[in-house]
Amino acid sequence: MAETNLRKASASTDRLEDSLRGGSQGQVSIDSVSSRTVEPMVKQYPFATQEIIQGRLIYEEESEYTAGRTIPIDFEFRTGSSLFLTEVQTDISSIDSVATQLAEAASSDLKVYRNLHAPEDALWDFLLTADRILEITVLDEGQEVPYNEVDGVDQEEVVREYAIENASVGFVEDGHEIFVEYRGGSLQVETDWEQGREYIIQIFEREVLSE
Amino acid sequence: MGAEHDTSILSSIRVVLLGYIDHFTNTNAYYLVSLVVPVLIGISGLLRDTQNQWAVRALSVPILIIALVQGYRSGRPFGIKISCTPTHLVSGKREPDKPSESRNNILIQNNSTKIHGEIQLIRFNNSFDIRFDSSSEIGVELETKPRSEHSYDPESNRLSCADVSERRFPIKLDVYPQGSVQAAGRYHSMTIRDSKTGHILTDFEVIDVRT
Repeated sequence: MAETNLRKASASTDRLEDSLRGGSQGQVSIDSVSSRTVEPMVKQYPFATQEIIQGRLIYEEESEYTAGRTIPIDFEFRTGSSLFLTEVQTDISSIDSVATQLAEAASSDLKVYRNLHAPEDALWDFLLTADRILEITVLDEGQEVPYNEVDGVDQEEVVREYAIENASVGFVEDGHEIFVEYRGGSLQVETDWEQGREYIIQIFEREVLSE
Repeated sequence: MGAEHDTSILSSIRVVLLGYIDHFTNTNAYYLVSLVVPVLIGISGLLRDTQNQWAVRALSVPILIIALVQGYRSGRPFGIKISCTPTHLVSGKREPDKPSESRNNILIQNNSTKIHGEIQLIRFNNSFDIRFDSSSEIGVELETKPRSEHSYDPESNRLSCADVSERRFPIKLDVYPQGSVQAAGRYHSMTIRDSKTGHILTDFEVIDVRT
């Protein structure tokens, strides 16, 4: 199953596609770049005309013990919602490093942040619309606890108030399952449904990222 | 007017007074006043004429007022309290790092340290504008924007809101190294400041303990 990782980014140019083309930095080299206009899949989608810069990069993963791996990673920058996505088939140790090197490969016209900067209250709303909540943990004075087990505080008081540490939820759409995990400041999406990724991202953009 | 999580009037006054006194007693103006006023009163005791005595004593008043005003201007804002707990992962679960918290330290043990904090505005304070600063070898970024009504600019690292509907909310900061220990050294700092005055609201020593 492909793992899609989302975080915030910003581009300081309208011609990001050109800046990215053929770029390389460190372990990252850009294999292909193109752009498309988004196709809305959800109702009341606020970014209906946004341009999406997409492409594939090759990541040379180093390893102390083996020869290392060459890993293709698909990426996307969504200009309307300022979301940056990477999609990879295998597990890699640091998307942060990939994102940083990709940004440098684009001659610094792209800046990828480490986190989503999503508004916490809207993030709660999004997670609670899921069909299945597998786990949500929050921080209580630095201690991670399940959201329904905060000492002396009702679940209703925790929701939309406390800082989320981890969340794993499942969405079901048209019989397809989409698994969404919020962890460490970024969102991961896993699904076998080809349009599932785009579908859940559009829901996320609508619920969390639009003003 | 009435926002959520309002502190009582008494508590708000207490917070402001304690904060002010704590700051004022450390200013140069305070030391000056604590030297000059007793001297003036001493001198007044040496004079024979009652009118002159009181005239000299009365000189203390403008000096005291100027010192108090200077204390306020150099220390404000007093209507916002930020408390932070550094955390670490213990067997995959996030826990508060109490020893570090008591020493006002943040330890960097890998490429990300999360700080769980809480911001409380006093009852009569409806707005805030704060900035996260760090010494150049480390970075600090918000994981989530606390509330949809807030504005977060990751470039200037500024979090603000002109009219809050909630006076207490959690923040989650991501503190990370931007180089190796060999290149960047071990001792750094992180501060949270008021954007308008530049005054420090809370600060930490950041220690890189990686090998």
